[in-house]
Amino acid sequence: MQAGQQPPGEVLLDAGEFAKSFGTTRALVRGDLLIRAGEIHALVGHNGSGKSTFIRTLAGYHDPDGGRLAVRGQEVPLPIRPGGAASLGLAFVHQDLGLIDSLSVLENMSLTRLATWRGAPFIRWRQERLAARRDLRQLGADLPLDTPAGSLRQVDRALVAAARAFAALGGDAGRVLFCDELTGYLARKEVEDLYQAMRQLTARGDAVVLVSHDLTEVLDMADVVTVLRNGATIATRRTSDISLDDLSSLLVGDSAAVPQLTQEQVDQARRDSAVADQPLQVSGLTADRVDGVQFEVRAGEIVGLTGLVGSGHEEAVETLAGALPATAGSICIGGETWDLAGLTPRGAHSRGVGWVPPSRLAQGLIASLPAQENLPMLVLSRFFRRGVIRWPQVRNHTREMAVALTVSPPDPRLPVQALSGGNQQKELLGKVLELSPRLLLLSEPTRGVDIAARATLWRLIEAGAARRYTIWTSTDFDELASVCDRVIVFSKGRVSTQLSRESLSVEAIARACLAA
Amino acid sequence: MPGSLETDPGHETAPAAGQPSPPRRRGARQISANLAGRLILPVVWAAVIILFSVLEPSTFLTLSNFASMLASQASLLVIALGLIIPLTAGDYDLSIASVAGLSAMIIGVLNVNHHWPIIAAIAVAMLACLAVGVLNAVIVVGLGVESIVATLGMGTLLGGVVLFISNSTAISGISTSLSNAVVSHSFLGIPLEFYYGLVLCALLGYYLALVPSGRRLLYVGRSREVARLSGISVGKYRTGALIASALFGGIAGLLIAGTTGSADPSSFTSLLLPGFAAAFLGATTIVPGRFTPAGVLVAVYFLVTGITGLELLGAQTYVQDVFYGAALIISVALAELSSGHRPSLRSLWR
Repeated sequence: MQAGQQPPGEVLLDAGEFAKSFGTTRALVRGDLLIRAGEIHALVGHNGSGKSTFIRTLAGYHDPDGGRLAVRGQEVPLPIRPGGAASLGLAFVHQDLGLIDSLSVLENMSLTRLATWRGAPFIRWRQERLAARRDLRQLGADLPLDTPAGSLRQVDRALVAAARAFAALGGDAGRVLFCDELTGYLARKEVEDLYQAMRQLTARGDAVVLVSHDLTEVLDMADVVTVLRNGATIATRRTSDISLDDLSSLLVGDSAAVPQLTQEQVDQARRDSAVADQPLQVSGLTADRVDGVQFEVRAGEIVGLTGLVGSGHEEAVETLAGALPATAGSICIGGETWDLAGLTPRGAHSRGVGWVPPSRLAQGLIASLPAQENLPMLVLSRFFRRGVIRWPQVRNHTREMAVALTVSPPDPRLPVQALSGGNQQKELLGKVLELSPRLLLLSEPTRGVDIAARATLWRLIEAGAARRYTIWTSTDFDELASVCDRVIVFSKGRVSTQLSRESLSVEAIARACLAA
Repeated sequence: MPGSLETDPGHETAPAAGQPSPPRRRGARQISANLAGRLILPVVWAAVIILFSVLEPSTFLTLSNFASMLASQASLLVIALGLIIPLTAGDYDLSIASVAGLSAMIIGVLNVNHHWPIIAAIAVAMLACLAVGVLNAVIVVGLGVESIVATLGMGTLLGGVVLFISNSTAISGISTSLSNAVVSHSFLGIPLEFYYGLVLCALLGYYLALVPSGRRLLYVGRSREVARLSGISVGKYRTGALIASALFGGIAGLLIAGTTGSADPSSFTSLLLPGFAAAFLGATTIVPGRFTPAGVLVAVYFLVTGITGLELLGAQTYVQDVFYGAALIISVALAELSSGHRPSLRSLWR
């Protein structure tokens, strides 16, 4: 570890050489983390760098394959048993916060305590109120206790979750609060408020670990930063000793490995030479988090949209698919122009726009139904002849599709939920490709799938890319650098940078996102 | 290590998402288990028939007993068929039995008290049921009220309306041309109403299994969001389903009015629970996990066979309630068990 100057506080947590694999995927290779009392410690790294796995291992959610852990100088045997983290003085707040929006702040604050209620046969609400107010004050938050949690500002919701997690710990100092990407959806002012609240804790000798994507924020407001890359801790620095450039270099690495797919590069070269004359144009696109965006996609081109979490690239694609209402904007493909405000998914389909949504089971496929009812969902009428759906044909067609998509096993009667994530994703892609879309929209099409399935998905998407327009959103910069002809970087709902093929690299994308 | 993947917190149960997994065996086993599951109810039904035939050959095993069992359940069959339409779309219609009561009572009041021709009375009754269906849809789909709450309220409200228009008394003497068409005339010794039920069963079965919009109804019921993003007008399908169930309720009322020649304002609510029992029991057979008309047909007649047999053996009428209630619980429990995700009792208590 290379913690900068004089250590300002007692070492609260010393985790070393944490490792964790899922199957053949090594999510965490060597995770090191040293947390001292009184510091706000930022943990940064790309998607897939192992941050979440590391934190979940410390929380006792995953059992590590190896590693050692000392808390306040005491060796702790691994794995940490579920619930054991709290008795060590470690509290965790996850991105989804775990609040029940329809319940009041007070009821949310009392939730954990009441869940393991061992006291009097009735709830002493007066005492609960006092306790909740005291716990929130620890974070400097003075919130109305009877307001529904759902009506609070995002940052205040985060504070309720943090105060609750913290209150569940024993002791009154030397505790560590881990916050997993709470700032992604917060406005700048709210981020400042959050750090302000965390300062209240560190001033008393506790420590806070914040997972974040935003390097500027980290440098401005945290004390120490630890960088993870490809599952390993690369460096730990004091934020006063490092520049933004150096930090992004650490994050990205000198030669980030890009998966090589030679056949695809050949295809790409061919596409580049065959630039079609009718580009797709999106103009004036305005929606929630999207602010007057315009861009072009050439025929045969794969354009990546990316940005930090909450920068609007996801929403832009959803409005093109008709899934999210746009307030204004239009799209023009091959001389045909239509309004994006009021566009429905069906309207998008009828104009040849297909969308692979980011959440395959909540938005894409129906888990309880078999492949033969999922894959042909959008084109079922095609098999309706002389008054009857020809199910044997549907079944054969589905089997052929599944084989072409390399779904394993390609059994058309198998419910989608019986397939692995990668195979589900292939079926979802197949469902959308059934439309033969002119414009293919992909939202995180390889999220949570294994490497082999990812390569297959890339190949399947690229195979037909020359015949259509493709827009691909991802926060995996490796992926974008490998598959895209061009990458458009979003920031605060606007296009901030466009990177053409020549200047496209993992590092360039990362810098563009962070600089935005 | 370019591809170290993080599982996405909150989206998947890690670590399954990140690892390449061999073709899972669970799916294959599930299919063969389903094949066995499909046939359990028909087999049990056959066994029940054989059992009672042996025990009560003189009363159970007679043509007239079978004819009466088949015909007497036609209205229940139609109610259960009506129920599975919104159930397939993911909504409950708890007002269907009251709609049947409304239909029968309108026919009775107009035909008997106001001397309307039977055809006109039937037309008005059907229009009233249609209006109830539309109203249900406005409340459930338009206003976003949970269907179970909205239709429970509507059912109770209609029960009051039926009492009001009938002055709380049974009306008898409905035109014999209706009872002729429903129950007096028969084909192969079985009153015509049985065949009406069969026809509706076949039509609905055709629609749900072989017409694209029928399958879209299932998509809507399984995942509103997937259906919406797949370009299906979720609201239209839910509306259509609630209107259809009200019309089926109306037809059931018509059959009741024809069978008894009268309309009794207090007798209809007792059809609701057996209807649900048949719908859910039917979903354990033929295509397990789905509401199918064929499953409903088997379930309705399995239930009446059991009840009739027990009554012939000397059981009291309470056996009906016990039988229907138990069937509802057992069928839903069976469906939970076969769905594969059953938590252990210990984990529920922890």
